[in-house]
Amino acid sequence: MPLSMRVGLGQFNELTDEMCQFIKQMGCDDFLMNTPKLPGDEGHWKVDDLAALKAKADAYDLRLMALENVPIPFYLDIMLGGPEKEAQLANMITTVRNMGQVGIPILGYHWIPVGVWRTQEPETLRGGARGTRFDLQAHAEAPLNFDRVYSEQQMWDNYCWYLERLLPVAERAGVRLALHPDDPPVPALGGVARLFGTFEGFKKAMDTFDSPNHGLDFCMGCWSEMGGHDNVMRGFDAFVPDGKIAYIHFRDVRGTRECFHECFIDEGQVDTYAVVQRLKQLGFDGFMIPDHVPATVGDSGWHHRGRAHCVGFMQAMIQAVDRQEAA
Amino acid sequence: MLVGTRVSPDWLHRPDDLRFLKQIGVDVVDITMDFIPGFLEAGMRLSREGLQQAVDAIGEAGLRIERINSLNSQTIDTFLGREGTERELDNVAHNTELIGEFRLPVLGVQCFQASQFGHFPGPDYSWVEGRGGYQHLHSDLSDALVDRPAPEGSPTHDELWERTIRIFQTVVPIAERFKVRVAMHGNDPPVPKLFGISQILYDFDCFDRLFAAVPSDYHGMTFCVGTRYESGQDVFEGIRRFGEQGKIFHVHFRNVHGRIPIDGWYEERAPDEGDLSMTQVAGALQDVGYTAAIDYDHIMRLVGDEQGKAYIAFCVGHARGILEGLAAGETRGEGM
Repeated sequence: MPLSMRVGLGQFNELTDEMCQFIKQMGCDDFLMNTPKLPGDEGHWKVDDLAALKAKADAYDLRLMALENVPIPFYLDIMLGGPEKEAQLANMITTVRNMGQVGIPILGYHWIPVGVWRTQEPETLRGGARGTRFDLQAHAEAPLNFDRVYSEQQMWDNYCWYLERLLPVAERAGVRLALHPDDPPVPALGGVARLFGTFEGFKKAMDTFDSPNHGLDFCMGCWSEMGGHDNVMRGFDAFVPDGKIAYIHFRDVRGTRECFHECFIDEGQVDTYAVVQRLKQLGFDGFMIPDHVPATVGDSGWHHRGRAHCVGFMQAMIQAVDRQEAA
Repeated sequence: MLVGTRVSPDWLHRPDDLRFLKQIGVDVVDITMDFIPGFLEAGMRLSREGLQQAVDAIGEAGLRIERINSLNSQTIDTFLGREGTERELDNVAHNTELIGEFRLPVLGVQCFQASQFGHFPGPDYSWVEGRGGYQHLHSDLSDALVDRPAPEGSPTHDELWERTIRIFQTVVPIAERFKVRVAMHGNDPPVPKLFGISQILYDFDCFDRLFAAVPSDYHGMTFCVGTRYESGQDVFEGIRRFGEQGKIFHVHFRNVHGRIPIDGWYEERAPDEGDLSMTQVAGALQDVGYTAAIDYDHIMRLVGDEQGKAYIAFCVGHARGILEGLAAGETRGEGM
C-alpha cells in the first residue's frame, strides 16, 4: 500500500529501546535522527554503525527515514572553501554511499557553518512555558565566527562545488539530499552569508541542482519566520507538486525573521488546518515531525511531553482534513 | 468547545503540574470533592474556606474549575438504604449550596455502581499491551454478566430508582436556584447487572427516565463517550438525542475498542486508535451546539511516563487539533 501524509518523530541522537517504543506508542512508524551519536573520528559514518541503527529500527518495525545533519566538522571546510575540503568531500561521499548501502533514504543537510542562532532569554509563553527567541538587533555587534567575512557569492560557489560532486554520488547510492533552511533566515550572521532564507534561495538551489535525489527538509518554522502563513503556503505550492519536499518540520513561530519567538503549534501564525489541507490537495505523501517544541515544566531534555502534544495535534489535524476531504 | 482534564486531589499542592496543564493548552479542570481541603475530615462536607483555596490554586495557574464531581462513597448509605441516609442527603444539600455560591458551572452526581456493593471476586479490568507496548485497560465482563441471583442484601432495581431519585430531588432544586448544572454520569461499565447486582443508569432510556423523574433545565448529564460506545448504543444518536434536549453538560472524550453486547469485553484506547473517530464525535457535538468541555478521561501508560504527563499532552494536543480542525471547517462554511 502506498504511504500517505503521516506523522513521525525525530530530533534525537541515540536510538534507545525506550525511544523506539515511545515512537510506536505515539502511533508513528517513521522517524529520523539528528546528528546521531556514531563514531566519526575519521570524518565519516561507517556501514556497520549505520546498519546497526537500521537493524534496530527494523526490529521495532519502524522506518528510519532520514539522518538529519552530519556533524559540522565533517564538512566545515567544504562550506568555507578551506584546505580540507577535498578530504571532507571524500568522507561525505563515503557517508552517503554507506547510507545508501544500508538503506537509509534521506540525508538532511544545511548550509550554515555558524549554526542556528537564538537570543537570550527565551520568551515566556502561556502558563510560563518557554519558547526560544531571536532578535537580530541583539546580535548587531556580534564578532566574526571565522577568520573573515564570507560573502553570498563565496558561499554559493562553495555550495555548487559540493553539490556538483556529491549529488551524483547520492543519485547512484539511492540517497536523497534534503536542504534545511538557514535558521534564522537573515542575510548573514557572524560574518557568514546565509543563502537559504528566501523563496528565491530555495528555488535557485532546486533549479540548479535539479534531481529526484535533491529536495527540501521543509522547516515550517523557518518558512513562517520568512513571511508567515502566506510564505509557508507559497513554499508548499511551489515545491510539493514537483515532489521536492523530502519531509517537514511541523513547528511555528510568532514574528518575522528579524524578531520572532517559537511557540506551541496551536498558537503560531500559520493556519495549520489550511496547511495540512493544502498538503493533502497537492498530494504530499511524506512524513512530518515535531521539531523544536516549547519547554514545559518538568519535561525531559528531549521534551517527550511537548513532542507528544505536537504529535497528538498533528494526528488530529490530518484526521480532520481526511474527514473533510471524504465528505 | 473547551479542552478539559481531571486533576486528582494531590494536584492542589502541585502548582507546577497545574501550570503544565495551562502550558499545553488545557482550558478547564474537573475535580472531585476530595480535592477541597477539609472535605473528608468534615465527613464529606464542603467548607467555604476549602473551596476558596481550591478555586484560588487553580486560578493561579490560569485555569478554572468546570466540573466538581461527587465521590461514589458520598451517598453509599442512601443507595444501600442504610442508616446515615439523612446525614448524607443533608451534606449533599449543603455541598450543592456552597457550589452554587461559588458559581461552579457543573456539579457531577454519581449513580450507584454495582462495584460499590463490594462482593466482586476481583477487578473486571486488567492492563494489556497495545502498539509499541503501551499499557491500556482491557475489561472482560464474560463472568460478571453471567445471570445469577442477586447477592443477599444488594439493592433491588426498584430500590435503586427510588433512592437515586431522592438524591436528585435533593440536589436539583438547589442547583437550579444557583444556576449550577447537575450532570449525572451513568454506569461504568454500562450494564444492567454485574455479578447479579443491579444498576439502573446504563442506557439512553434510563437517562430519560431519570430526567423525567426530576425535570429541570439544570438536570442533565456527563456524556461519557467511552461508556456510551461500550454499551453498544449509537454514540451519535445519543449525542443528537440528549444534545437536542440540552442535556449534555460535560463530555468524557474517551475512545474504545469493542462493545459489551457484541464482544463481551472492551478496551480503553488512545484517542486515535479506538473504534470511534473522535473527530466525528466532536463534529456531532458541535452540530448540537455543545460548547462546554471535552475531557479525554482515563490515562493510559506510555514508556517512561510514570506521571502520565506525556499521555496527557498527547491527548490534549489531539483534542486541540480536533477543535481547530472543526473551527476551520466551520469558518470556511464546509461543515464537518
